[in-house]
Amino acid sequence: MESIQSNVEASQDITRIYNNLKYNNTSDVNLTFSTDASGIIDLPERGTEIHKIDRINVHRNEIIHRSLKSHKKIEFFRDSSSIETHHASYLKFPNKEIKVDSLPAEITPFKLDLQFSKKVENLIIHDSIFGRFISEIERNLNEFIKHEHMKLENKIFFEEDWEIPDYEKLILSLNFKGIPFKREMLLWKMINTMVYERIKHIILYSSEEKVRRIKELKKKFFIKLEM
Amino acid sequence: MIKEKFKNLKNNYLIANMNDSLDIEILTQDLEYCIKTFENDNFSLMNVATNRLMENSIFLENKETFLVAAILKDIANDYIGIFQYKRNILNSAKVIGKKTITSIKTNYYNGINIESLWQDFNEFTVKISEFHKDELESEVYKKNTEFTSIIFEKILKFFEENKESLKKIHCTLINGVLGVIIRIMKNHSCALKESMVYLYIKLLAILYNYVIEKNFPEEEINEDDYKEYLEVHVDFIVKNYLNDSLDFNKYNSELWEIGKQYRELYFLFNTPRVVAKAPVSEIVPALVRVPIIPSRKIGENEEKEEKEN
Repeated sequence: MESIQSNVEASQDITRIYNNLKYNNTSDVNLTFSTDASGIIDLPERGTEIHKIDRINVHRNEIIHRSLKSHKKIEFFRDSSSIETHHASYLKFPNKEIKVDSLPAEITPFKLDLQFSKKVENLIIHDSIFGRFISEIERNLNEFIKHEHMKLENKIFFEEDWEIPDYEKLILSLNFKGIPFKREMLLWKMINTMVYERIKHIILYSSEEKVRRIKELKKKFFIKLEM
Repeated sequence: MIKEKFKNLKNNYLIANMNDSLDIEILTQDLEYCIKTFENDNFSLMNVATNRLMENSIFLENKETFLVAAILKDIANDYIGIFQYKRNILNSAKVIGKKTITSIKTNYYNGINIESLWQDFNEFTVKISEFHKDELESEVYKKNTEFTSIIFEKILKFFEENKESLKKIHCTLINGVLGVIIRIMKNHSCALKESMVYLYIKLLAILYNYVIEKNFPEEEINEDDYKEYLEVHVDFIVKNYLNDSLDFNKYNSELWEIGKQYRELYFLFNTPRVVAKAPVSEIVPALVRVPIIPSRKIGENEEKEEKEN
């Protein structure tokens, strides 16, 4: 029996449940989703009977997640790439019916733990333009993981180019865990687009002096996918 | 490793007339705890940890460690703000704090050089300001410490001229001055002496809250308290800034005095009914403008509630 993925945080909303099911074989079973006091949704294994956790009478007015309506039936229809959300947040996906128990769901976004090499740290401290460049990348990565509900390991460091030793590259290395290669590539492309768009934006709205430096950094900057 | 450092530290402190190794051990534990909270991104707890360090340094009469605590408290407050409003850039911003804390730690284990501490604090204040700026501010404002100095002179003169109004418990002069100082420092950067003035006024703002509590239920602070707790410090800060004096030991003694008074009044007058307002105003007195609610008002509200019930 294939387990979908355990303990998906309620805060990650219905989109992630959708994604979970989308990338797994679908079958016509009814699934019941419930949350515990910590607001964690357990994604049930296929074919197993799920016992609902009794609702706990806690902070009902603190329910942040509007999509988690009390025992609302959420239907999934096959071949729909769009997610329709209106009030009760209905998702369309293959013949599945999911009941979501309502409990307060504290939003606990994924935390981005961006690692810097010593050299990068020193430059952040001593070069404010470099610091700004790096913080914009961080801002983008945070927006990305918030939007895509992705966990990723990443670090920023300098790397010598083995073909041109004088040329030092600034590398953002990404590592998505447990994701099919095709999807990894897609996410990498998305991050590339987002980050470079952001850099373009900074260039557009910076003073001349800053523009020169940011353009230099842009030339050195690469986003690498860890395999 | 810590044991080795501790031995080293003990030797250094023996030279500095600190003869009780237990004292050092306690302060070291407080400091290490404080650093751990920073590493774990728990900045509210870091603020609590720095209060412990501050309090213990008062009990143990260690003025140098008090300065360490005051600086770390300010660092904690900065990161509370970044964590709340700019979490998207927390990792980059933490690089600045990490460097400063490492430097403070080294300084501490080597016997505390006050001047280096102040230098570290100034460097931190200047650099972290970049992370407090919004996107447009980053683009528009450039470093101009000359302008900062001019404004500081003006605002401190204004502060001195109006210091008597501090007697009125509804007076927002300290928070007003602190607000201007923070804005100017953030947008135009600052030099060492401005960073020092900022830290004094920040602690003075906290002390002021407790002086008001001490004078409850009066609407005016009595003359003796005004002279003992407020005027003396305002005069010191303004005079030293305008005279361009940077006597680190004298400055440190004054800061210690403010801290000591504030902590003593905290023990005496931090009654449960004011708990709700005190921590907020302690954390960011200028960024979050907390109206000073005299205990009388709180008392009146409580009475009203009781009657209604």
